[in-house]
Amino acid sequence: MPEFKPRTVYVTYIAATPEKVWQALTSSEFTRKYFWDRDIELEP
Amino acid sequence: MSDKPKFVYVIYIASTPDNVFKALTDPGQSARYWFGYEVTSEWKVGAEFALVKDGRRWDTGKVLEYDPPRRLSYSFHPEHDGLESEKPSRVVFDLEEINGQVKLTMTHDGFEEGSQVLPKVQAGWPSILSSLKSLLETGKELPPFWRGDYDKK
Repeated sequence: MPEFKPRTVYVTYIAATPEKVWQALTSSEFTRKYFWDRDIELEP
Repeated sequence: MSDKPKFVYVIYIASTPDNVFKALTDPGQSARYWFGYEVTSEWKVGAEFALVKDGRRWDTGKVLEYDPPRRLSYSFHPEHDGLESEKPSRVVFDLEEINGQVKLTMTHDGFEEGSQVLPKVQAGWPSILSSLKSLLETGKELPPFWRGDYDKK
């Protein structure tokens, strides 16, 4: 029996460019606006 | 509880339940966000439903529930691509107003195991409903997610 691994997958289409969406995913300037005021921290 | 295959998609739209419900039932608007397909019905329980493009009925069904602006459902039976042999499935839209926006929940169920229709609607709904969101929020729908040749069917 295969191991049950919970996950969720969501697909959305956005009238933008991949570069713009990438920027929105990785910059606090954007996440503060759409992610309820949270800053994103990440290291490349 | 049913373990049968189904597809559920939730999207939040900066609009009102009235405007979202109207978009779901208006052929002129659906032609824009549904890539040319007009949702056609008299919109009363038991009335026929069809998705019409280029004068052809591509998908048909019957209105199962009509409760504006909260809930809409219709049966769904493709009339193309060899999918005619499958039993009709069911599409349900639930609209909920939350904080000045609409939570739209689309449930497509009633599939049999191994359905050929399910993977097609799984690919289609995110694109259609994203396009609906764009249209209602910006006045501009999205282009189809597929490329050229599929459009010529």
